[in-house]
Amino acid sequence: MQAVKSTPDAPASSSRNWTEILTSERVLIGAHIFVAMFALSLGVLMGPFQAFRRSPGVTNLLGGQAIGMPIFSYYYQALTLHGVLNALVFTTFFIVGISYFVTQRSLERKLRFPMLAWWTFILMTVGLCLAAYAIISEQANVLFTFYAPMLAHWTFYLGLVLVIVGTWIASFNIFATYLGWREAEKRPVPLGVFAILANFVMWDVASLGVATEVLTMLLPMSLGIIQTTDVQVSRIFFWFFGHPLVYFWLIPAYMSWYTMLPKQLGVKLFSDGMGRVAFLMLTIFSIPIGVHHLFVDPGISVLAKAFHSALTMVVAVPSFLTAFNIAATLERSGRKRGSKGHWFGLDFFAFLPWDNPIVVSQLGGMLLFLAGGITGIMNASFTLNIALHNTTWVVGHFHMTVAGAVFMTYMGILYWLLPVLTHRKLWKPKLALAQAYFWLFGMLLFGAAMGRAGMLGAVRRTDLGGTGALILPEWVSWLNISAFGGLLLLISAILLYTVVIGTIFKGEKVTDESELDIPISTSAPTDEKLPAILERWSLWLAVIIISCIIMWAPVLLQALDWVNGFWVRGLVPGVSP
Amino acid sequence: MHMDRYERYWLIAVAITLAVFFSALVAGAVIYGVRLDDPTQIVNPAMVDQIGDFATLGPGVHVITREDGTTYKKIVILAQRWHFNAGGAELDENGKEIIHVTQGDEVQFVVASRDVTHGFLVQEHNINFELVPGQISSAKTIMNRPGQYAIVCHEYCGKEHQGMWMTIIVDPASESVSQNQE
Repeated sequence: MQAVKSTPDAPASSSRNWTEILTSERVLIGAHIFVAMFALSLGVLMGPFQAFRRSPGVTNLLGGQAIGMPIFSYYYQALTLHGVLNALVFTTFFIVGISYFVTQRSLERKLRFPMLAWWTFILMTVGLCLAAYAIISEQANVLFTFYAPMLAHWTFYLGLVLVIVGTWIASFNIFATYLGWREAEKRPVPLGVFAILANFVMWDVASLGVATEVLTMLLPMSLGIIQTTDVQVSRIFFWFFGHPLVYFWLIPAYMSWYTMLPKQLGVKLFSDGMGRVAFLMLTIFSIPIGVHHLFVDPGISVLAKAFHSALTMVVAVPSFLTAFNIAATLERSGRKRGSKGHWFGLDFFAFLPWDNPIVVSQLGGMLLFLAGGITGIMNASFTLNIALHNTTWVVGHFHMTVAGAVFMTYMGILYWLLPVLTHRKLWKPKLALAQAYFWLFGMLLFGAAMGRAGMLGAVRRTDLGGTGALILPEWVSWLNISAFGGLLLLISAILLYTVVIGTIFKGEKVTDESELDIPISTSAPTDEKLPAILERWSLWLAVIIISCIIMWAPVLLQALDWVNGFWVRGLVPGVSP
Repeated sequence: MHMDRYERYWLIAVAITLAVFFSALVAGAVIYGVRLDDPTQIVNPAMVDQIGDFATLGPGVHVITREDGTTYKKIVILAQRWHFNAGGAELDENGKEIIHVTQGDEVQFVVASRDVTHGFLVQEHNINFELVPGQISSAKTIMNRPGQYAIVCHEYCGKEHQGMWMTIIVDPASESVSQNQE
């Protein structure tokens, strides 16, 4: 394991010295991580209580009265908070923060526009406050997909727009930093920054979809400027964005597995070049497949659904490449620690450091992603999708991906990043280890139980503890098991915040960064040939745009209502939830 | 760029696996006739009851005779917050609608929303729609297993979403086939 050089080593083009970079970095990245963790604290609290409320067993324990939500009384309000704060706010702030950090450390350069980064942060935080106001005042019970024609208060949409515009400016800042570095260095960029660039190229294209939906349809309608909309078209714009959104969360987790985990294990990544190929494939193939979320929508042709279904199989390839590359890297580590290649060569898995919270968080994320990825391929198969669409199966699936692989890996990052930001060692690493295991087993139980309930037809996003709800007898045991999974997850969340707050106030002080392990590479490997075409971003951007046009233009054109008002207007009036 | 020998084998295995998966999808569509919904027309959801089957037949279970003399049942349902309207011929103790078909019936569901996006899931029968307002959803199935199946709204549609469901009962074929038709 090696720490990044903390001595002044900045390139000549930078006028400020390295120490100053480190100080300003701690404040800027710390602010992003703080907001992310603050939003998460409220969002994550809502989750287990929804599982409790849906469980007939818990309702029986409470004498027949379904449990209420903490702080907020209303199930769908809590569900909106859970989705928006966890999946949109926590992820976005965390990703922007970690992307700044990795870019600066890897390239050993300050961001090109440091003050702009602060204005971006303020813009995104104002956006968060606006959206939070709408949700908390019960004027935005629309869930985090905010499907038309149900309308939230305009502050909800404006807030989300500000957050997204913030990510665009952040990506501009990162691209500018990278271009300056490339001009000066003329060598392949380190893999971590490569992943971040790939992620933001994809994100900037994809988020145009949701920006179009919100700016031309939902925001004007919530302000009363237009009265009606076209729901099918709004769903098309949303899912142009919705699938790349999950890869926007996943790519930073992959970045951690590819570039940080090897350092934490003291080995070299199996193949840097194939890692780059995987990131590029994710960037290219994550947008032109989004119709697999719309298989049972009536307004989209069967042909488009078939093509998007086929390409969805292709986007599984980079994840299979990742599985190989990371498993081979883990094997190197296992062999170094005493694995002899028994059990068909798989015994390396037992020799990994299962007592290191940073490593276990990432390994747990990978294990959950095995289940999450396979269930994802099942969802994308339209023959299975018609049995599973919008059942709790889907909830089980994406909790093992975003709340599994993504969340656990982000916590693995937090456990080394927090000491860097606070200059205090992680407080009680054993508690952090317990947190990871509780989350892993809690999420396995929750995901499996939600999956089984969904196979039996239990519907998602439904207040099964509310008046008039239908609970079929065959769902009951699975709903109860998912509530038990929720309890383990609640314990894990409490442990997480205990460790975070403990580190901030009680952690052992560190005077020199060299006492900390910062798993950042400042160069690409020299023993691998990396073709220059990998970094020809204008080419990849063109490929993305062309494939998006080929795959999405027919879907949109065919859905447009040329008679009643193109897409801006439609026949469906907005209503409050 | 270097690619390890085993990585190449792995990629080939992955490609074969995914090709098999996709072939299974194609087989499902071609051999077993799994069909996804295809667009028909854009309608005004507020006036959908004046269009097509919703106007001529109205909500309910209808026996349709084809030109060759065979029959099937067309089930027309209108979704509106927070209620499925299937004609109102029979209600259960919760006030939810009940409809009947007979074991072995070929059934076509024709469903549309009058306000917001609703869901439509017939338990254990692979009938699954997003009822997007402005569109009409339709699918066919054969109901072979006698029993009682819930039809549930699976898309969040507002504060009483959880109460939006109804029941379809598949009566055994041996019973009188005429009694439960409209």
